[in-house]
Amino acid sequence: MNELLERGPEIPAGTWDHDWISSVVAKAEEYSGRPSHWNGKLYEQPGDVAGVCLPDGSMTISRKHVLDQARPAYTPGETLTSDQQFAAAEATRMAVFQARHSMSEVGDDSLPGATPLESLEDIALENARCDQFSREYSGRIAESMTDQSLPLVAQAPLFPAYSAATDRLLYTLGGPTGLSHRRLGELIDSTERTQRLNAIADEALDHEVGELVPESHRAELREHLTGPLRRGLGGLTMTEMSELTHPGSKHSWGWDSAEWTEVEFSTNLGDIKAHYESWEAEHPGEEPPELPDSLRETFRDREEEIQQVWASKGWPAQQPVVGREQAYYERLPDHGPVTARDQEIAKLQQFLWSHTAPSQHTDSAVDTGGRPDNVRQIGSARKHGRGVE
Amino acid sequence: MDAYREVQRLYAEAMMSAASGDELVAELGETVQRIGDLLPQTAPGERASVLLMNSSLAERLARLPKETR
Repeated sequence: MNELLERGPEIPAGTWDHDWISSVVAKAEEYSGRPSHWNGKLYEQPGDVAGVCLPDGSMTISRKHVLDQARPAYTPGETLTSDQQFAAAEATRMAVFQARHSMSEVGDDSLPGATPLESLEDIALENARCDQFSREYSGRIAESMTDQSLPLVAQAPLFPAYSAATDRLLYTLGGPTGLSHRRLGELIDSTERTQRLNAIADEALDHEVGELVPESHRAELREHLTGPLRRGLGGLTMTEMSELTHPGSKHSWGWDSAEWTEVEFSTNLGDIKAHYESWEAEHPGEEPPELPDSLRETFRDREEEIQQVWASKGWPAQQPVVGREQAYYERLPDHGPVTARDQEIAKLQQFLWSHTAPSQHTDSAVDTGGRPDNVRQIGSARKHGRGVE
Repeated sequence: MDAYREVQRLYAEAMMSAASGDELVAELGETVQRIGDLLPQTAPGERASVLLMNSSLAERLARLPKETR
């Protein structure tokens, strides 16, 4: 077994450490209104790791980085230096993050249309929601457990691009889903991780098209709406990865990229709505046909256009999907002087390609030229020879 | 390079890794170790973020099929 997975000693119930974590989890449950899936078993986390929510429902927590740093602030009568107050605040923030994380139901990612666990979009969304919760509630949770004043106000995001993009998406998707920022956040938090993007798509479909859509069509329609979310959220890992960019710029990239994610989502939804409403107007009461191939082609073209927007803005890249052209990811900026940032972006794009090329995943859909058979090459004639992606 | 930025780069690189099986296990473990080594060089206000990035990597490792760990 990998040594990272070797739990440290169990921290028994009834000790200060176990009681403190239990109190943090209970307070987090109270503020979120949802139960934790922690089974009450707590272990010490070795190494430089805050803690882990394990698949069996137990949790690990770092004694060195969390428990020992928090304890002075939660012990009555202690006088803390400002460094100790800061360390206790950071420890509280990590514990609250883990407590919130323990509330997320995992789900089954083997089901059709499920978001794969630990995929880039899953990681982005989960980290963003835990980050948001810890920023909003760590101060209140600390206040309810100690008289010490801990510096937990106006904290910067732990994951700036993930958090900014998710936060903005919650606002911009309010129109298509008919849900407020808070309600949409609650929908995500209360849905198992593997079904969150589908839940957002379902809300939008139900809100905009309602009963006009036969259930047999829903799986395909979901894909046309979850695709933009998957690519937009997954692409943020490239932003978090940038070596030359200040966290403030990452926050800005995340914020701006979410706007384009929403544009693709809403425009696709508008086209879907137009298809079903026009059929209903012309053939009232008759079951509508599936989306025409021309509209599916429009969705693919739009996906490509949004990707070009990312590239033109100098953002590192959207997360590619199987079927992308290698040439796109190896393309160097073709205008202006080559700056250190340009070089970095090119390096990241090449890295992306080398790790996600279709041929790395499967060779079943590659033609004799080594090119996937389901994509056209950049510059080739559009709408010819393109199969179903 | 700034230690915190290097941590972010290492984190995202490991998360985007296309490795699988033993190779992925080794890569994740090595990244957690390297990030841990950089922890003392980061500013106090960045350490919670660094430790939680390692949590994210360790959890990905914990969710791999048992036979690969």
